[in-house]
Amino acid sequence: MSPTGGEASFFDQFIEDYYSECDEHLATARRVLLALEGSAADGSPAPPMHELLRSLHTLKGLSGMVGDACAEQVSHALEDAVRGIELAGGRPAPAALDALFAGVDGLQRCVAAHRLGEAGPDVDALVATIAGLAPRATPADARSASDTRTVAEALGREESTVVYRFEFVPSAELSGRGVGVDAVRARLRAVGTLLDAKPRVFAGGVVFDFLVAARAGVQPDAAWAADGLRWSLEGELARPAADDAPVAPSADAPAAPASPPTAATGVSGASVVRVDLGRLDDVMRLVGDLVVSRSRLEDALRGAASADQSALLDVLADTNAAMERQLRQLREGVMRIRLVPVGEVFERLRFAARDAIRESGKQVRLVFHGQSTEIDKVVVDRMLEPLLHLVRNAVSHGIEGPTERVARGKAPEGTLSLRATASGDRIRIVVEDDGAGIDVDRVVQRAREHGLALPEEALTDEQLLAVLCEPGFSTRDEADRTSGRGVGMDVVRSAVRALSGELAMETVDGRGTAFTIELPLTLMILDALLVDVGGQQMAVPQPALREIVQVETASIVTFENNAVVRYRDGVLPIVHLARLFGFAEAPASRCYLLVVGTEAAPMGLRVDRLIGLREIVVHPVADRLVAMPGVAGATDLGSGRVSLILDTAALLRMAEEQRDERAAARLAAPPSRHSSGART
Amino acid sequence: MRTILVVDDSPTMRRMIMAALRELGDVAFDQAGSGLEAIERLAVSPVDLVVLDLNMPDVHGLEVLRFVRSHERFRSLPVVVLTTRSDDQSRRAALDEGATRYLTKPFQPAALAPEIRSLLDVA
Repeated sequence: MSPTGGEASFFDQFIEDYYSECDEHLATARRVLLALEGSAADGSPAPPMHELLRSLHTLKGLSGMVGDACAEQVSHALEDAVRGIELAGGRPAPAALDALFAGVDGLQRCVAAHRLGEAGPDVDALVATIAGLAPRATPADARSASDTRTVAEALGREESTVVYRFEFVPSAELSGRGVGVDAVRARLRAVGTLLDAKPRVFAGGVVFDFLVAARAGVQPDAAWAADGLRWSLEGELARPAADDAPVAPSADAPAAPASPPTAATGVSGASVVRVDLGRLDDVMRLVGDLVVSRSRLEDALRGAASADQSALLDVLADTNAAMERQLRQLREGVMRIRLVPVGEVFERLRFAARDAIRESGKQVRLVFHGQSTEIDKVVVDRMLEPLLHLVRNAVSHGIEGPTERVARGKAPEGTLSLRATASGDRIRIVVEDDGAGIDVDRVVQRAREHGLALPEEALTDEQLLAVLCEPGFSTRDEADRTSGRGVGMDVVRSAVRALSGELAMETVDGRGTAFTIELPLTLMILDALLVDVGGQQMAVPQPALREIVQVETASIVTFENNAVVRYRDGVLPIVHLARLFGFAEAPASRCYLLVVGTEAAPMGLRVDRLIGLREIVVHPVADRLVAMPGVAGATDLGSGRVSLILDTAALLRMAEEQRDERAAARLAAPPSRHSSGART
Repeated sequence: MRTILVVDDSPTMRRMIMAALRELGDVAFDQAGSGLEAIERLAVSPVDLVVLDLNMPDVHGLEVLRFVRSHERFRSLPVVVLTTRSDDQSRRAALDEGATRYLTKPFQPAALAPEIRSLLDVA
């Protein structure tokens, strides 16, 4: 059944919830499948399937509601297949595992297509393959499959174990304090492994009984007694014997006879908060307003300093200092809510890499570093696709096949590493392979065939990257299936730039290639340098600044239509901001240059005066009529006057394009389908 | 004012159910995301009707139903099972355990409210 007109609009209000829940369940499915594959590889016990089944079941139900027939069909087939596999012992054959991976991938594509308003992919063949995997389980089987664990399974047969019996008596009062059965269960999971959880009617009310196995020495928190919890030591288990009898629930078993299945699920739900991003943005805006208020207070203080009210002044100054500290803490606290570990994305990359590796027939080891590095949820979501491109590229083009590697004196197995590190307000993600490196000659040859103007001398890594990022550029005659190389790099670069990030590359012939993505940790509040440009106040994000130099205006010379100044061992191209934005140009003997860009390609932004460092709140300029290139947004500095925030990445890009255009004009290049002016 | 307890492990599904039932007018909602939580909600606050999913973490919907029906206090409480399981066997099992109605997902939002209204009027 698919929704008709009226229903479609009814479900429209839930569509974002649907996608967000799909993301969660797909992540669970990927995690369990990878664990399943890992256990098959190293012979460890297969992970329990109940979590996977539940995710697939929920996906099926939700997809049916919103009319995503493609996702409904695939999740249905997957659920049946996994149930069959579970009944058959929980160890799928390699071919079956492949089909499950393909199924989850297909499911993801269905959801993605629905999100883009496109027709779903053709999944008939996929569904048929999945349906052919295992005998179908009957609904009755489905219910009997228990996910209760034994003590031995739960604790890995190593150490001695104690089993606690907990009793929780819920009440409206406790519930009002947020102490409910789910919260209690989360607490108990922190103590050990939940073996059993059952309700029981007692004196007209309900009592929940929990059995928890914990390592010897682990004690429940005495303060829990105030939260309706009582407990006793149920027993002690020494190192379990070989037959590992499950711990039987004790004699006064409650009314519900069948097994209420409960098990530790790895990630504790209690540590995960699902918050609507819109609400978080509201809080961030509120913080922004507070920042503005404090700026006003500071201005008032400055004004009051002239009057002789020193005592009052002291108090105000103290308040101001305290507010500054509190605001910073609040800002950091709220920002932390938005942050998620980058490891979540890495796991999804592992999943994608797995397919690419299998298809390529190569041996590739994936290494992750810094998974706990945190990054804004919005930033991380938008980085997934570009990172997928880089990973697939590295597998299908960077890393050589085993024979070729051995011939080059390398280990047959290649290494693809993903590293995330945070420094200050930026996060850096490096995707590095130890493959063949980029074939520069081939890139140059293809670039010339495409009509791109290139210098005669050897290309720097940066120039090479610029060529690779030309829209539609490819070193392959036909984009191959896995990476679609050539359609990828421009997408990668524009996604990174859209997030105010920077993409860099380093490649060494025969040794490998590393792509570095630098991104802001979050996007809303920045430390910025305020400057005066032609009488207008502008803000420059501090992380973008490399250096500030003061120069004599007379030392700025024009060279090939570019204003430049001597800088270190070379020259520094200059962008005259007042001229760029059409502000009045104040004649002065000295000016300041804000050096931005990379070490290899720096650029100086000419400003008249430095005002000082300030914490600014970024308001994006959404109105297309007001938006102008080189401006990232606007900020209210408390004076009620709006100052523009410079987008240094865009300024660099504009300067680079102007240079390219001038160079192209000079060289009278061959007819070009890919002129730099066509870039966006 | 009547209170409806909506039990489903998917928060999105709960929101969909509540939105479809909002047209009943004078109703309040309570929610539970698991079988245990459903039993807790029943124990700590008055509920006039339960909309119950079957496949849930920890305690299965049928076990919630069995628990509810085995206690005097809840014996006449209307429990509407709302599940993706459309097979006869599941339907029979739920009705045997004392489900008042057995409805399947995907549901028509416009059709759900009248079903529930008829039960609330009787209760």
